[in-house]
Amino acid sequence: MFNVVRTAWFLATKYFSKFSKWTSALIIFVIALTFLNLVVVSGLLVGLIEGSVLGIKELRTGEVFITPTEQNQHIKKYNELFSVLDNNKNIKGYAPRYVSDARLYKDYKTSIYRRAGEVDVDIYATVTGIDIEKEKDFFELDEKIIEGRWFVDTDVNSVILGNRLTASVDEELFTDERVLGDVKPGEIIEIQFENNTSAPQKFQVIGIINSKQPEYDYGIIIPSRELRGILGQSALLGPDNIGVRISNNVEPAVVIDSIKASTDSTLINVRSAEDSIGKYLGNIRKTFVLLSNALGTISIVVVTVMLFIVIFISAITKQRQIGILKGIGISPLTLKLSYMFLSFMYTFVGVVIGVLILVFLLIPYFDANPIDFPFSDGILFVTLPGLITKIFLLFVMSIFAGFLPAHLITRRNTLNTILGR
Amino acid sequence: MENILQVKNLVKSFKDGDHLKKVLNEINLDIPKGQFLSIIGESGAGKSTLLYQMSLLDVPTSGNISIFGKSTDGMNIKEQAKFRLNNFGYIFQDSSLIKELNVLENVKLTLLAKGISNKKAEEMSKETLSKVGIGDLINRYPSEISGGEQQRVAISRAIVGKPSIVFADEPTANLDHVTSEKVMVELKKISEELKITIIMITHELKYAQKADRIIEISDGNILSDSVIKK
Ligand SMILES: Nc1ncnc2c1ncn2[C@@H]1O[C@H](COP(=O)(O)OP(=O)(O)OP(=O)(O)O)[C@@H](O)[C@H]1O
Ligand SMILES: [Mg+2]
Repeated sequence: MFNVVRTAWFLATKYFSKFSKWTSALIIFVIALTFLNLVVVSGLLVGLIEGSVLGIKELRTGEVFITPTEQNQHIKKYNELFSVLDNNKNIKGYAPRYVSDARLYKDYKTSIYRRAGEVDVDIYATVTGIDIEKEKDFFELDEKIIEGRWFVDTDVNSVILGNRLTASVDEELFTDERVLGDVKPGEIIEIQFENNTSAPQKFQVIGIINSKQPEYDYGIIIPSRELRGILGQSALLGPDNIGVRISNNVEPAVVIDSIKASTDSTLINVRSAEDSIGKYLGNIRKTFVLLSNALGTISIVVVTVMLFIVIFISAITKQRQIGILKGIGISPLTLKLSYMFLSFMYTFVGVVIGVLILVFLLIPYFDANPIDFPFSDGILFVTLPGLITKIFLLFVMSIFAGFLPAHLITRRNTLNTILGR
Repeated sequence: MENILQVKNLVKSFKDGDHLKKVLNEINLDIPKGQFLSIIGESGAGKSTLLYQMSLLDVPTSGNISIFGKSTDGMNIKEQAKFRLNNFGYIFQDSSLIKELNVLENVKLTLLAKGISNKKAEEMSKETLSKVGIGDLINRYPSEISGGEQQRVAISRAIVGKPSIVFADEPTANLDHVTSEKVMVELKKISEELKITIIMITHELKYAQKADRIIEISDGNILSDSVIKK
């Protein structure tokens, strides 16, 4: 068997090096493209979702997300919860948010965004009261400010406005949405908070945020100390959610279990980021994976057929030679293996080139230039197991595409092929 | 002398329309070890057909071929291939070299298949190529050498593994006289120096006469069988 493999390998290397350079280059090119197609299409599709999950986790939920149970509007007994969180060594930090609704007014006399018959521009939006230090330290929300600045301790009557409420978004896409107009940092808007019967209060917009998190981009952010001051009693009902960041080498499940162990499960839900994001993204993800698998299958079939045809034609034109080799005693298995190795070599070179392009070109490119989607920064999502599976598939394909045509040719009668009949 | 190859009542028929055409008609032939046998006869007589049966490239309709006194009847395709690899050398009429391999690689291929180490295989191949006078062509590809040189490479490939029998079907058919002469000299040398049994088909009587024995085939029968006196 060793002799068979050795002789087959010897023949294959000779075939490979003597094959028409252009044909070889073309085959390798197509295989490399197929590999990239397999990896990049699915990587980008899944990357949209992964990017979105990553965004949600990094900016809002953290690794562990705490929300009130359905029966409760807000997180009750939050002071006890805070001390549980403070005392857990696996928790790096957490940020509670207080969510309320409000009606916003702006510049109603001059706004071009006023609809026919309207005397002023007003929209409803979510107000999120935040801890400005914690959001900055643990969620880096301050880095998502695209105009103006993040809060400082001394800010009074200041808000950050979601970019979706300004006119700087693509209006084609969002014709049904109301926007406040082209609000710039420094301008004044008026806010009337939910359950607050007094007249709208004036606030200065100090920054515009674009976080791709609808909770922030379609709303306004205000320091929770101010919100509490404005809303008084109602804000004291408790935070609406808490994002928790945990230490790097700790499993979220461990932290979740320990939080659950020392809190009242009828009051709060403690979930991992993935669980709290819910089925929706998971379903899209499944659809995308299915879609990319379908596309990938097609490209695998195409490349198999291509390699099959190339090898088959090459073997057919060498029929007499194959007959002679069989005649002088080279076993058919040796010949079949030699074509299998040949096909394997093409696939190998193609895959290596594909991996090089992926690792040194595409991954750095998409890391530096994430695809700008409304709901996420699309990344190129490539996992090692996924990569290995695809490379494996290509090699299985190459074995098939090399062995089968050689099998079809070598099983012909030796003498007939030598004599060309 | 001991017979290396024995043909008994060999019949080969082909389908010709709806009846069978007998191309070889009960051939009986004993070939002693080390003999240089040439087969002559007019075109279509059945020379090649006989050679293919004897060299296990084809399966007779009936009759029996024994090599080293052993019948080859029950051999399957795989065993036949192995037997050919280990015991036979072939020289075909047209160039039968592998165009992707250079001269040296063409010759050493069967040695590799036999399990001989690459180093040893190259040594043996170079030695054989020098013996047939083309030791300086080892790095050329078949397309870069003449027809006569190609045939000498084919001869080298046939004998490098020290086979028991070399089969040659009109090895000089496509060569000019001078080149043919050279090829015949090599075959003669092989027969005399290496004592390899050679079975050669030729159209040219003068080449046939270089052999130890000539048989003439006509219509599937052995017409004459004569030993050449030296
Ligand atoms: N596979 C086959 N099918 C049918 N007829 C065949 C086949 N092979 C050979 N024949 C016939 O058998 C006869 C003998 O053929 P063979 O090739 O042995 O002749 P030959 O003596 O070698 O002739 P040449 O000198 O032209 O090579 C011819 O009539 C040929 O047509
Ligand atoms: Mg013939």
